[in-house]
Amino acid sequence: MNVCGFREEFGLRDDQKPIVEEALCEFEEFNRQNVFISLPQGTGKTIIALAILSKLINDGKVRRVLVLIPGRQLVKQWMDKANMMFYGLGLIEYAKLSKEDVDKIRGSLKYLGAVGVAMTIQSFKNVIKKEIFTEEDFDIVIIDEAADLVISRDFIEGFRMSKYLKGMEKWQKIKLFLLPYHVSEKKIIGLMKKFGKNSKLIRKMVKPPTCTIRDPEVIEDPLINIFVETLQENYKKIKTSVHRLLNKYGVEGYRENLETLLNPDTLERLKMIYHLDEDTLQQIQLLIVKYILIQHIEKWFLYSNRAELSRSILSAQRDVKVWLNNEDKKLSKLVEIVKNCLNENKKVYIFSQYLATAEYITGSLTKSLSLKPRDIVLITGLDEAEAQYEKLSSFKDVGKILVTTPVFGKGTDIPEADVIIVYTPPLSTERLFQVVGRIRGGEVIFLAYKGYEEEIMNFVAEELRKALASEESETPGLDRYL
Amino acid sequence: MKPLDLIAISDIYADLHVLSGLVSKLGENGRENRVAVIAGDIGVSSTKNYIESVCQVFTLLLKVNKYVLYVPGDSDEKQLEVNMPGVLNIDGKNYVLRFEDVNIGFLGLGGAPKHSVRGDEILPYLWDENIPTMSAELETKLRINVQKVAHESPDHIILVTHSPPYGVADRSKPITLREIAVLEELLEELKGEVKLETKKVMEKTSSTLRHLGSRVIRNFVRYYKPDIHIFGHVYKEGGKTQTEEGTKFFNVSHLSSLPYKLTGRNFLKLKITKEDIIPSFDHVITENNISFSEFIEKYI
Repeated sequence: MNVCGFREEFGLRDDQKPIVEEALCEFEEFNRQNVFISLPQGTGKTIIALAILSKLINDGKVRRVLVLIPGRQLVKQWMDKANMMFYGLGLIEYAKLSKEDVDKIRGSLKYLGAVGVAMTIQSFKNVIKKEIFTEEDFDIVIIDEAADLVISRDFIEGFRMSKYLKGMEKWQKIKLFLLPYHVSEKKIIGLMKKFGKNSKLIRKMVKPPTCTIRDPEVIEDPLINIFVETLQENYKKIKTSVHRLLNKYGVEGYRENLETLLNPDTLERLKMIYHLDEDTLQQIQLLIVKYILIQHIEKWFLYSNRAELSRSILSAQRDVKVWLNNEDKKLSKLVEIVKNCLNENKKVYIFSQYLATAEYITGSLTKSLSLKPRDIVLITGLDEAEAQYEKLSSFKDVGKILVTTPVFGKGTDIPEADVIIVYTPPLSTERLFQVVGRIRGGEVIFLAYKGYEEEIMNFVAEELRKALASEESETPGLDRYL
Repeated sequence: MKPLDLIAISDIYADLHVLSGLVSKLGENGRENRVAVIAGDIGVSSTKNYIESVCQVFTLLLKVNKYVLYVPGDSDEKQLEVNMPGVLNIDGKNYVLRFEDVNIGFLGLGGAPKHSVRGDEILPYLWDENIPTMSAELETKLRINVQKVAHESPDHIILVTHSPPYGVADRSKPITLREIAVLEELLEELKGEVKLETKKVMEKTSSTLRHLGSRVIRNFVRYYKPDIHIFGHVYKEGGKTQTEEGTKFFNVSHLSSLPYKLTGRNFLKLKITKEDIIPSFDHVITENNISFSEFIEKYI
């Protein structure tokens, strides 16, 4: 008799079944110690992992599981999914355990009506250090968002392990790693090498219900185009001037990251090697200072950071003054789109890279659409992990609009949202995929000022469409624009 | 009755160029109705001729203001005293200004909490409010002075401190006087390397955004409710205004163009009558009518 399994109303989708079977085959028939599953966001990696676990328990292969997850909200998401969709597969959140509970777990998890413990990788580091749990307490380890295990390239080792999980590679227990598909195969292979030869990668481009990328909503605002184009011209001019100076002295490198030239050690080195005089160094520094400030200001203009602009020296410029006194056309467009969505009973998720913009959007939508506090939920890094989770639940249950900064880790799903509005795009392609992948189906809307920004957003939308439609999710060209 | 013009500035770092711009902007007309308040960081004590540069600041301000009231900031000498008529240090002190039929009570507190500056910055006027005797001393100073001022029944009470109160226009990374360090922070933000941390982490690490203000000042304001609280120090929050329980807070940072050009050249003007105080922020910009492109060229 099965001790655990799907509850009556739940089960695997057809596209998920072969993956579960393949993983089970690797564990049970080929006695693999490590199985890596790399699937696109939205394919239900958590469900797949829980289904594999459930089968292994029923087959008597494992009894106790340790689930390692990058963030607290995801711990809750895992526990919720395990409890809601499966019987006999309860997970306990490590943070909620008392010392007595830990002792009981050492005996048997069944005392607590659970088969395992879920914790963040940060907790894991402390747990191992203090020997609260050891390898012997578990039969299987599931590691979600395992790409985080390998955090960066290392010249000697190739890739470097996350400090939080050091030691895990030596565990002799079976391990199941879950990774998003957009992590490059090269990186995954680098990761697999850390865990020995008895490892298998299951990497499939299973298509989740894809979202529709709408053409960007274009906002006409001639003034903003003048500001942004002027800033862009300045930016290019400065770059050229620095390059010219570097060429003059035969300085190699630094072209891609001019800002490294602000580092006093780098400057000292240039002085020594290329005999740059003090005046030239100062000139380079001044140019780079401007170069950074200009990029910063551009974001203020494009992303409705009116509060910062009003306080800044720019507010003293006549055209900026006029612009600040006019309505915020980007915001007005957002209000219009959100209003239409609400009329169609659609739930809306608005993403902003910046906290100030997210707060501004929330306040403005509340006012313009006469929203009740429960209608609109703002989640930012200022909320504790617990509060973030509760707020997200409240949006899922009763909310109409969710506004967030890049606060959620990978894997946080928001299937309840019908529309994602990207008010300010995230700063990398990987992040963009994470944001877009949070909803199941539905629409993605970018907002762009006519002119300079429109061109970029059209490109981003097109690349995203291509990436979602093709087998390849890597879009190297995008990062340049984000 | 003419209103009294109160010009509030802070974080000047003896930037005489911008200060001269302010002086020409204000003009000598109206000097008799004008008072300047400096909320600290008048000069940088580690520089040569510090006292001389501070005196130059006062001299320039006296050209267009009848009085100059000041508190020293963390970059100033703690005992910053100059013997100049019309210039008054109100650090740990009080002063009641009588202008026509308006009485305005001032009280001040200089310096800044230790937790608000970067560990590697060497600054002469910092206090550690986590030491109970230190916080008690600061509290007492403020209480005694507000009592004395209140005794004179002023129409308005204005608190001038260098540090913001905790939680009001004080959110930033710890303060640095180095422009390069500020730019590094901007770069992190631009490249998305700043992780939005939870509150707990914010309180622990020095590299994340957090509240840099003083809890002692916050508690004092909460219970004694001055009408106006003028402060500086956290320059990235410069120009912010907030009203809470009857107190209007103004972060007047910062008059110097550095270390953060974007909030620099800032000053506050308060038009004070017996019944009312009308605030407005402005910038020391000499050319008001230039194009956006020229503006960027000149001021950024």
